[in-house]
Amino acid sequence: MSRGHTTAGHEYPEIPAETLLTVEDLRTTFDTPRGKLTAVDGVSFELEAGRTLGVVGESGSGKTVLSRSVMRLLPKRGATSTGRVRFNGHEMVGLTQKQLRGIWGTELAMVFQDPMTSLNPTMRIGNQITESLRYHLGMSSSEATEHAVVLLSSVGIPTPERRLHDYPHQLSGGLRQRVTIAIALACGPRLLFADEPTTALDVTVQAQILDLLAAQQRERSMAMILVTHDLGVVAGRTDDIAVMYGGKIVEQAPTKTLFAEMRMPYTEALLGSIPRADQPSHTPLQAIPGRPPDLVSPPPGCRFAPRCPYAQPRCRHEEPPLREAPTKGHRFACWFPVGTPEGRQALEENRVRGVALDPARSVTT
Amino acid sequence: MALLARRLVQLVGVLLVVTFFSYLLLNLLPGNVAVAVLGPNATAAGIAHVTAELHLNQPLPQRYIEWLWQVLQGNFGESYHTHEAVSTSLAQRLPVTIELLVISQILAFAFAIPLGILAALRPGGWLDNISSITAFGFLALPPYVLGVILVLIFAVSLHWFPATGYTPFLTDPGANIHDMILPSITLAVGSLAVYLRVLRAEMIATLQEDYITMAVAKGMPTWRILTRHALRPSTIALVTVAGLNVGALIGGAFLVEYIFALPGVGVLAIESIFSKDYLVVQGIVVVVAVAYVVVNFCVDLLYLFLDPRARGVQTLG
Repeated sequence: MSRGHTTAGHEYPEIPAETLLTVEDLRTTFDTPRGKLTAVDGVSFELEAGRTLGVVGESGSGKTVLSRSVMRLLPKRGATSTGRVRFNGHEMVGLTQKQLRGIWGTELAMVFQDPMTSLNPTMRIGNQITESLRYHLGMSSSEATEHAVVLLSSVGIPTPERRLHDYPHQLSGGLRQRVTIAIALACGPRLLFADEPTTALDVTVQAQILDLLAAQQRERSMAMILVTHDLGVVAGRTDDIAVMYGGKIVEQAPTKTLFAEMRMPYTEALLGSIPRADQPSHTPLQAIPGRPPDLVSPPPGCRFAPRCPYAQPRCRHEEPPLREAPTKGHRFACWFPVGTPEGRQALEENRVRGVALDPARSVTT
Repeated sequence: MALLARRLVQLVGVLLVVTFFSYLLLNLLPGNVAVAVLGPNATAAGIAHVTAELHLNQPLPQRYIEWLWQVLQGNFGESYHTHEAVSTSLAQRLPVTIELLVISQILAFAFAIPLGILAALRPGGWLDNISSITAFGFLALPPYVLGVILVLIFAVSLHWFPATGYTPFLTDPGANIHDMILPSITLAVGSLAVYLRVLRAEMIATLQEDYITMAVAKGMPTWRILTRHALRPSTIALVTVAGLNVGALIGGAFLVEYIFALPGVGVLAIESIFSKDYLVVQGIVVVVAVAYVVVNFCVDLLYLFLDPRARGVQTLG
């Protein structure tokens, strides 16, 4: 846990660290047959150079669209994305594809979820690594090949010289994800997006890949945004965590703070849905009842209210703003926060009234 | 290499079946084969001669093997009308048909590949719409209609190209190509429309793949993504369709040769059928069937080049 807190910003708090990425009021909508779907709804956050932000949320919370929106890697048609994204001195919103190509790969890179589909099956691994080296850094064929060997061995691939000539189908899932990491790192990006980088992998390989990402991130003092649905994945590996729900950030805090004093009932529910080693075996997991909100016509008020054990009438018509908690860097959006007298009272009232957590039913007063 | 050997064995098997049925064609003629070959005015001596020459008094399997042995040596027998060896006629006519087929396929691919790629880049865009509508229009036009229309416009009205006729390539290469342009276009248009639709659909599917998004995220330029990343995985279906299209194409080539009076195998086939010159017909059927099988064998080999996964897993280390 302490590993994430050894970065410059924490050891010397009086010197403000360089802000690498500033996102302000980012909003991304998709045209669907049913109407406009708002996948990312007014998200703002900052990321300092060399630090790691975990973005956590269940499927459909907008975490993947958030990372694609920051990268500006959205479909050309049907998607609209507004707001401000300032990255490494670039105003990303409004850049042309050509201008973005100068940033993609070299300053901003991405590791995708499924290494079975993110490598081109008809190209040798070597070519998939060297093409960006040759295109972006102007390396000759032999320089690029040498560099590719170094990259492959740095991500822990044995006999890299021979692997260069392999096709992706000749590699295991874990090795393939190492290759996609090598490709993402090839041109030395300052910020790496890792979008569920271990979801498609065996449990035994997951930790290895996460450790590899953490090691590379420290070595290269590269910033990283780790997108995942699994709070357990980000627990020991990030400086900060942003929890997303229904396209919005509902809680954000330094990792330790979040686990110690979470305020948002959704964060609590996410944590409750992780199996824990200290519980007796066969303890039922606490699934979050109900489904994520419909992002075409989201419910009024707090979007989590229909599934929330704390929900009060106020939650259903008045949307809680993202407000500062007493601890520095901790923000949350809730009227009846976890661990506060208001929160305890709300929970107790619901218990007394016997309100079942059925999203179809509404709370009556 | 083991894979290649297995494919070769399969090829030989298929060729045996194909040649057997081609041979059977002659024997399926009603009545006495010798009478059928010689026609109604056959003399007893003629019938005896043909019976001996075609080994008609031997059992069928033995006849087939002897015939196959002769065919392997290039001997298809001789025409009972012109008394010319069938192999000689084929040798004269085949280059014309092959040239027509090759030029038409080069034309079809030369237009279908770039148009298919560009149409897939912006599905529903103006280029996609125009090329789709045109392709469907041409698909609906059989070669015998299109050929006549092209002749009317470019030969009769504009006098840019000859309406009919053929100059051997070795006599005058320029005139040869000039003569072949209209026939090749007539034959190419149908293939072009099919190839364009297949490649467009495959490219659209490929461009949705994660590895294309990954290439975009690497900052690769669009042309490089299209040609280096997306084209090769998208051509597998195209190659399959092109292989299967060979049969229809040969039929089309026969028609086009007839329309433009090109001295190819097609015209020879039509003449031989009308004059009941069965040995010539049999020779043509064998050549066409074998060509079809061999082309599709080459398509199979092309898969191995296009898709590394088809080569079988050979893990290093």
